[in-house]
Amino acid sequence: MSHARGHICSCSFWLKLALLLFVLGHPGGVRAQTVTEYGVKAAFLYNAPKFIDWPAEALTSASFTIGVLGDDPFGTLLDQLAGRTIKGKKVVIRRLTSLERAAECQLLFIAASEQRRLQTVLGRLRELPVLTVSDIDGFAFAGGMLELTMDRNRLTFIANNRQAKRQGLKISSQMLKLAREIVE
Amino acid sequence: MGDHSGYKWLTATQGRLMLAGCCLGLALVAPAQAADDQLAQATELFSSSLDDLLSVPVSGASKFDQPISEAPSSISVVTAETIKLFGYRTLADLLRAQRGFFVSNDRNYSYVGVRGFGRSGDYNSRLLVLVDGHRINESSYDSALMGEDFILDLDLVERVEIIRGPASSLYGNSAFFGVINVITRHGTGLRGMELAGSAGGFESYKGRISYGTRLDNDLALSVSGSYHDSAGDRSLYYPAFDDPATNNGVARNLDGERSNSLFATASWRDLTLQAAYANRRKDIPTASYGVDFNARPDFTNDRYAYVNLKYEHAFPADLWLQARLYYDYYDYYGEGIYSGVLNRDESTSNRVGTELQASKLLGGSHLLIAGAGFSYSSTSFTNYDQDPFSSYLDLRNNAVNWSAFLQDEYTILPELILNAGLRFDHYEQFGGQVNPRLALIYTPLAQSTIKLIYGEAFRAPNNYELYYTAAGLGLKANPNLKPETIRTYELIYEQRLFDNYRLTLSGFYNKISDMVSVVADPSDPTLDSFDNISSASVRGAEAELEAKWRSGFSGRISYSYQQAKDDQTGLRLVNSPQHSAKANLVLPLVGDQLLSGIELQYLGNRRTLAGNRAGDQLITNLTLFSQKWIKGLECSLSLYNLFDQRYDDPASSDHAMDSIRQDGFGWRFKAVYSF
Repeated sequence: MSHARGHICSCSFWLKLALLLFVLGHPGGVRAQTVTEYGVKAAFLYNAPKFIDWPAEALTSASFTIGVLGDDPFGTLLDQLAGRTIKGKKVVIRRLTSLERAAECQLLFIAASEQRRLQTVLGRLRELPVLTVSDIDGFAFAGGMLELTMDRNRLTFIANNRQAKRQGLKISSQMLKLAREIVE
Repeated sequence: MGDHSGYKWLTATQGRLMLAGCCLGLALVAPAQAADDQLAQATELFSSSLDDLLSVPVSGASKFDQPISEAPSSISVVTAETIKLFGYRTLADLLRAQRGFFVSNDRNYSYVGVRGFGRSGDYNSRLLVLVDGHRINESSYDSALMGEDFILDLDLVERVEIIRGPASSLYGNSAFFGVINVITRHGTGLRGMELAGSAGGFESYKGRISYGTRLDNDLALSVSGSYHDSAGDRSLYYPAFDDPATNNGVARNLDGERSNSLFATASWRDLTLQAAYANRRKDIPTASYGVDFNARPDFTNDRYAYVNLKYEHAFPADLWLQARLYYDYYDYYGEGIYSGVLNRDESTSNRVGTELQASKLLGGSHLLIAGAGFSYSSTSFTNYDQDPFSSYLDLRNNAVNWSAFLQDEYTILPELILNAGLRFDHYEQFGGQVNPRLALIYTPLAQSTIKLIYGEAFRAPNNYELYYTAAGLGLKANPNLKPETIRTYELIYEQRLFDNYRLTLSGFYNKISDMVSVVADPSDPTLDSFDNISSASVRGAEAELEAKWRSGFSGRISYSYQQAKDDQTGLRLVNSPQHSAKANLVLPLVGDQLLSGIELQYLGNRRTLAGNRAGDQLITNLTLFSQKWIKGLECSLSLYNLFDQRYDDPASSDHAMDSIRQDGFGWRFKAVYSF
């Protein structure tokens, strides 16, 4: 069972009281606010493609495939996306242990387990119109397109626009405005 | 911890999210399962806008790295952040805080002991140290330098993986008690310009300048240079020399240390070229090796440099290839006065080698790693008096060795992995060595892992033990020396609790055979020689609990017990502690802007060569670390041995004293500015 430590962020007094009463009254000790790191990252993966354009030839299939390379940190969170649509296509989640099927994905999340081989992985993906996303520290600097970082318990991202353009992807200025940093 | 943006009203959406969260929570009557709750939260989040996703506060603890639980060893990872929070100055400081490790210092070098084994006077030849996969144990004594003589400034380290247990099945020589894998910050971690400066007790100063960049054509460059200077303890008293003839036991201005290092990495696509250089000179106040007390010069100088070219590529059909070509240079020289005559001791070694490693995923359940290596080394040892000139030793030796290894990580069932490895090493001097390792990794539940490991490893006799022959110095070479071998049986249990706690329990038995020790030559008792005459057994158990809480609190506490006995005498080994315990706590004081790192290290008493005891020690270290007040600036203040504990480390047979007093209270102020 997840043990979120008790800090509730600042909010109106009544909401705080309501939460306090709720917490005290619940034997299971379920915390009201359990927006987790990977919950918000999964939502980001669902949301980000709305602001990105792929080259036409990359979106010919009937599905929008989100691949996870390496040890999946999302658990069952990403599976909640299956059945929803991105860019008018049905979302398919694929877990990859190798780069063989990477070309079939529109979005590839590279897990922290691949950190050591990052250069080689990015090298292989260089020619493909795949949106690369990861939370590995230094991912954007190394050539990944979107690097997810936690800054004081809030999700932020670094966009490597230069790399995205090189691989045929266009990140809208709307999204770039929200980026904490842009590598151009 | 507080929210620094002050009393902030939520946006309507955030309020809705939180209310939605509360309602969902309320809707689940019985003690809710966090997983279900989490899924519900996530689904709610999907309908949020990007803007909101970037402003919703996130809770939930950070997870531990999954890959570690599947490795065929007990691994600890120390990150750059931990190095900053606890103020580690050297690799030895870092290892001193790890479960099962202890460090001794003789005011010349730092010697790292593992699991109750750390014989005084032995070099660090039973631990393999790698920097980005490159072996840095030098070829004269096979030792890895881990103090200020380490090849890298610790600021350039991304993380250190401490892989316990025999790993010769993969790494060959020196991976006796474990492998210390140092991963540097090149590539992803060094960006822009970085300036660091520190000042500390005993008139210590250190400065560093680093720069990293990535050019448009995918060429990444990083370069760094450091300089360190310390006066040390200007006045050290040794009772063994308390006599008017030897300055009443006081060694003056003989604890100084000076070092400089350079590090550069260039990477382009699949190629990485790395070069490093480090030079350190340390004055010695203990009059070791029988030199005149309080006489100058009395110092050792160690210099290490290497160039390493690596190629790594992922081929179709799950094939990965890594190839390496390297050149290593090491030289050591020391000077001391013997009855007024200056003596110089030197060693130089050059090593050239290549390694090839391929890994392939076969049939979905076999991960095969195969490799081969070749190296050629040329070593020289000289020893002479300067004036009047007298040469005691002048020898050169070349050696060729090659190796081949194979490892299979076989996923028998999703919850059962068998890791089997074998390596063959051939040395010109003593032929072939075969080292296997077998590990069974069983994960009955997602949060529990049981590992059963059997491994063999070896330590080849170093060139010094094999060839150092000098009648004038009372030493005779033994070219028939064989490698030391170790057999380890280990049982490890890892349990993750509540998502943010990790418990590790382990029990081990080490049988070390053919240990190299000094023995009087039977044909000429005035000469000492090395021979494989000893053997030791170590039995022990360790326990460690790690926790990571939200808002930056984290802690780690460990205890290890070991019984290391010499098989011939039945006595506890010299310099072997029976008990040791460590505690580390990270306490955020002001958000993530001011943090404190508190460290306690307990080491049980140890036998000295003369049969006395170097007493228990409990050392407390405190570091205050601040960041994000001024953009790009990080500052820290570290207080070492906060309560000025007096403690000694056992000395070796090269010292006149039985044990050597260590430093009392010390401090360091450090600032790092990046732009």
